[in-house]
Amino acid sequence: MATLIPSSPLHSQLSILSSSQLPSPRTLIREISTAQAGAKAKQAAALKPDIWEIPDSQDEEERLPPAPKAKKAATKKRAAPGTTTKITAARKTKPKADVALKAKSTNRDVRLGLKSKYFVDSGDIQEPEKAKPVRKTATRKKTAASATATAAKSTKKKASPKGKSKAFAETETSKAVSPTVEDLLRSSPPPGRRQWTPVEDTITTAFDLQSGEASAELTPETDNFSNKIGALAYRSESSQDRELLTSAQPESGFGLGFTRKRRIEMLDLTNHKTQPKEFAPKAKKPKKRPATLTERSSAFYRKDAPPSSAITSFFSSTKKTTSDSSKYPTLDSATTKRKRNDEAVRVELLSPTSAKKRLDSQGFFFGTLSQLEKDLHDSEDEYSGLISPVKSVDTGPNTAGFNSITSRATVTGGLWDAANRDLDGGLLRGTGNGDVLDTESYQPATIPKLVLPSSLDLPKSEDDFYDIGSVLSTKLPSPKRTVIIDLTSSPAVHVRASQPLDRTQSPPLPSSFRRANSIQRIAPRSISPSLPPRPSISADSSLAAATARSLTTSSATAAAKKRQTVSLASPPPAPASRTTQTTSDIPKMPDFGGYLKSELQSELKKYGFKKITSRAAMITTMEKCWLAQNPSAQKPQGSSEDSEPEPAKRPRGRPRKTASMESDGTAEQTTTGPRARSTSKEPKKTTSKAVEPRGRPASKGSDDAPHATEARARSASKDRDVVANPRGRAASKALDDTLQPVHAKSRSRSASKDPDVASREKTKSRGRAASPKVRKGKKSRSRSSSRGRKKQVTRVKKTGRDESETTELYAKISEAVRVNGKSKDSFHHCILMYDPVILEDLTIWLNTKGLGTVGIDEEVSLDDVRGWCDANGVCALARQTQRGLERKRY
Amino acid sequence: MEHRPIPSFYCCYLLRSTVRSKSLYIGSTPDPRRRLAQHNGHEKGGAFQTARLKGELRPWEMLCIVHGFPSSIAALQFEWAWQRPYLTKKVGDNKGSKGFTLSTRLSNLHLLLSTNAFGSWPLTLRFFNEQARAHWEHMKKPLPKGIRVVFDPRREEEVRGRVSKFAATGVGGVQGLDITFQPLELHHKKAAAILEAAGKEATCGICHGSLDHNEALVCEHTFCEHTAHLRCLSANFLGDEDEARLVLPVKGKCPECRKESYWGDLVRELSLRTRTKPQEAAKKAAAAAKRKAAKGALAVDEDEDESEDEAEVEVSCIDVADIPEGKEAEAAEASMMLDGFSDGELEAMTYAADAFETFLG
Repeated sequence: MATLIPSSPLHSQLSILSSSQLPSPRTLIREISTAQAGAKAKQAAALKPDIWEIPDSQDEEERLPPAPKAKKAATKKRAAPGTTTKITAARKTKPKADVALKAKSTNRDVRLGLKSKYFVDSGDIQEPEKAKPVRKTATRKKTAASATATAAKSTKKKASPKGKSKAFAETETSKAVSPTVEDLLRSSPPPGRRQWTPVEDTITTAFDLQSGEASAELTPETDNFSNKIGALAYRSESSQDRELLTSAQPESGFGLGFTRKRRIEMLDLTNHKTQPKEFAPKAKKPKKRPATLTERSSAFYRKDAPPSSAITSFFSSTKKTTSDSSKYPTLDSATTKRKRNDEAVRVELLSPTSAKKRLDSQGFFFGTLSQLEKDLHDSEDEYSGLISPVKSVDTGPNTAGFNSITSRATVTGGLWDAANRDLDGGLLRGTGNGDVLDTESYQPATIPKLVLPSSLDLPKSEDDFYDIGSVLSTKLPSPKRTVIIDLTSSPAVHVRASQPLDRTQSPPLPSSFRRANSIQRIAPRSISPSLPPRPSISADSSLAAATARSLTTSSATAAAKKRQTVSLASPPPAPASRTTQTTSDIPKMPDFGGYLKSELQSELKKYGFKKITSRAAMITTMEKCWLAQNPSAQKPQGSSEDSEPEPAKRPRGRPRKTASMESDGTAEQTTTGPRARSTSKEPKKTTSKAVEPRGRPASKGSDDAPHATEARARSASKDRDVVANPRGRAASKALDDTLQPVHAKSRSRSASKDPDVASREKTKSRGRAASPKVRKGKKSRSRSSSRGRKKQVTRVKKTGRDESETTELYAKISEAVRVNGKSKDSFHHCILMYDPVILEDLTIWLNTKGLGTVGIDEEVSLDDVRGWCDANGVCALARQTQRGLERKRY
Repeated sequence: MEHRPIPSFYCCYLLRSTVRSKSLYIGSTPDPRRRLAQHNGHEKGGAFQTARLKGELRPWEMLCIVHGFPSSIAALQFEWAWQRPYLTKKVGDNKGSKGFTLSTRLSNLHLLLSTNAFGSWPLTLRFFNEQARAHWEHMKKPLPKGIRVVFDPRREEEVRGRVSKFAATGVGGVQGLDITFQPLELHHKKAAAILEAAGKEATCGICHGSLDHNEALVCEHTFCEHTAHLRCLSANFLGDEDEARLVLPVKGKCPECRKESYWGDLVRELSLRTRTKPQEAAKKAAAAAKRKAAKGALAVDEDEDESEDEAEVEVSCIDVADIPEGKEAEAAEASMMLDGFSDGELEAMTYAADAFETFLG
């Protein structure tokens, strides 16, 4: 932006001029005038006083041209001193020779601001000498009045140049310049001054900053260089700039190089930002090429799959993918690549059965490249041997996996049977026609892809699957082996259906297929665990998962209930247990012992059991579950309901009171505790109770007899009530347990090492077992296994005793304790000494001796004793700790 | 089965975090000072709950304790019931609340002490904190007669010389708690003396039958030499009405002096006399004497001979209160010294012992 120096007062300019080193034009002119005699006065008068010249009265009279109009206009237009005036072009121009300046036209142009006196044309050059003498002569000839007038004029004229510089003096047409002047003019002009003050601009234009447009009328005359320079000033349309301009204006219009009246030309700056770009629609990101197998295989089934495919038309979808693809043009290479990839990834959707058939027809080879090459180049027998199903177990490490696959794939009986295994872990396969894979008939190309339904007149199933088998039957040659599976009549699906391997992957098969082939066991024991998943099946898994689960349960239940004979070509010994029975027969419990551990776990999981690590425990649990579901089924003799899940555990609790125990008169410690359920051998004592005398026989004679009999009668009646309680098996168990009250924390009745207890036992004269009995109306509580085994039904309930009875009992116990507390080792002594009392021992003693001394024949349970201890502040504890260990510290 | 003696001290305590007042902890220990140090990280063996959050809950303060349990098993049972009052069967139908606040804990404590299972025991509830006691006083239900409630705040700090690590110091509070047999010292001596004097001719004051020393209970009150059988006295304590249904007495009046005594105190002495071995008794007495001496000791001689004679042990076991007037200063000096006493001090101590014996005799 050009910084314009404002017009300074004349005296300041003259001071600047005085300091110049170059000869002043005045001197030059004088020289010229002296050299030339015939210089016209007009020229000299036309020439305005030079800015470099100090205004002189004579000179002014001689020089100032008679241009009153212009002068008057100039004087009128002259701005007040001190105000900013636009610098005219004349001020800006550099000084030049007086000859040029004296040209009339130039003088006029310079005065008007059109031209600078320094830039005069050669044509306009006039002889300054002519001007001079004209003036002189004119002045001399005039009279005094005219002299005064002229003087006044001259004074006026003198005054006029104050506002104006001499540079703006009109220069009349300069006459012919002397050759010397011309020469000077033509010669190189004097070098421009560096320090120069711009020429005062006579043109006054008002610049309206707010409007943004120059309100002043810019005439062509005013469109001089100074205006152009002024127009170079940058002006933006932003408000900030406006503010700056407005703020700068009152102080000085120089901050941004603007004067108030400067017109600023609007620049037509093209703002690239405002212009809307016309760019192509953003192309879609190129799809990431699928890298993994899963992506590749499933790329076709993604939402953004290309629409141009037969499969999408098969599945009616509302999405219109074609429109999306057409929006954004893509490169041809990319589309082709994508298409190529899609085509490569595109997987035809086959029904599971079809997929299986296809898989059966395919051959798998495992091994390194060299091995495969070697195998392929080998004889046909070896080749067929590799491909053909393994009839012998050991066929080589390379073929193990292959055989397993093929054997698995060729299992007849449906997909459910695909993973049927025998006891040894080998897969079962169908023996159909022999070889699994017939290389001759292997024609992968013959297996067609799924075609549109219109081309096939096939009934639509629920899931809209078209099985390739039906397609083959209509158009294509059927393979050698036709595997038809009949789910409804297939026992193969039986328990083997519980295999988790393909359960979720195999969809339900239509009923049109019937199983024709039998199942033969193939026993490759070494099954490669690193078998790759079958993509075709995996593609169906999502669709068939739900149905598969239902099929699983249904098959399992069907297997349990409905059994059909299966003709086995060579029934293996192990799966014999899996032979089915007719439904009419009583369902026989399957041999859970032949199940694999994983199978047992899966079965147990169905029943909601937690994971059991022990195989034996799993088997027993499964047997129990089965028996519970099939109560009519016979119990397998080998199994016992009451078999302990952990037989390794030592027996706990008080020994059961059995007949043998009673006869021996000693406590059997070997039998299991309260949870021992060997009641299968024990006769039900429901009826025996009424017969057998309960409680201790009366020792005091007849006085106690009626009391005892009454007690017995009461107990018998209440036992009958217990029996009548409809709890099924639980009730029967309760009966057994009533004889042997079981406390939740009862411990095993190992031989007591306590001498006191031993002495008490020795004092038994009645030969009764040490095990206490539950009082009437009580059910013993037993510990239930956390593993989901059949819960021990017995429970202890204090429902049959009132508070009064309880208090009476407690009182009796207290009395018994006190009465028998004379010795130092008595319970009474221990209680008085605040010694901890063992509950079992106290109970035994009470039942054996203590209560007898107070005339009570009833037996108390551990709960009763515990309650009594709590009521009397006796510190009682069990013999064993909660961890089942023997308590060492008392 | 060999029965253990009743421990000198076993308590269940209630801790509260000084950092977070809502954190409470219930435990049991025979030595509350040591246990508190463990909880606060000064000693090894603290509990996980009190050391959790990287020890941010430390230090812990002991609000109250319940002591006087006749056995460690009894204390553990009480602790378990106090921690889980909603599970224990000892409370009967009144299920304890499951809260974890101080008021809840104390209310559960009140519930447990009100039951027959724990109320029959010779327990003492001792508060060390004013706030805890204020909470307790809101419980308007009375406790069974056998439970004693004591407010024992820290009253005086006193450290004389070098003391053992967890010895009692000062007066009041946990620090001043006496966990030794020292409170039974007098009674024990008295009973021993009486029975020794009686010899085989000791008879029961109730049934007037022969009295076995192992079953003889001696009245704890001074000037009363009543002895009786364990069962006879219990029956006497129970009375005719309660005898029918109860077995364990709580307290009763001596048939002779008619002063009330707690059954637990009497039995405790009997346990100490009959079930504590003589060597153990001597060791315990020596340990008690050491603690007492260390309590007022100014300086400790490093060349102290740890083995002490029985005479010194017996002398040092005498309570300062038994020292006659005029000899208190000397007795104090003697108690402050760990090492052997000077002749004059010994004479003073022997004089005090003789005076006591004559008093008893």
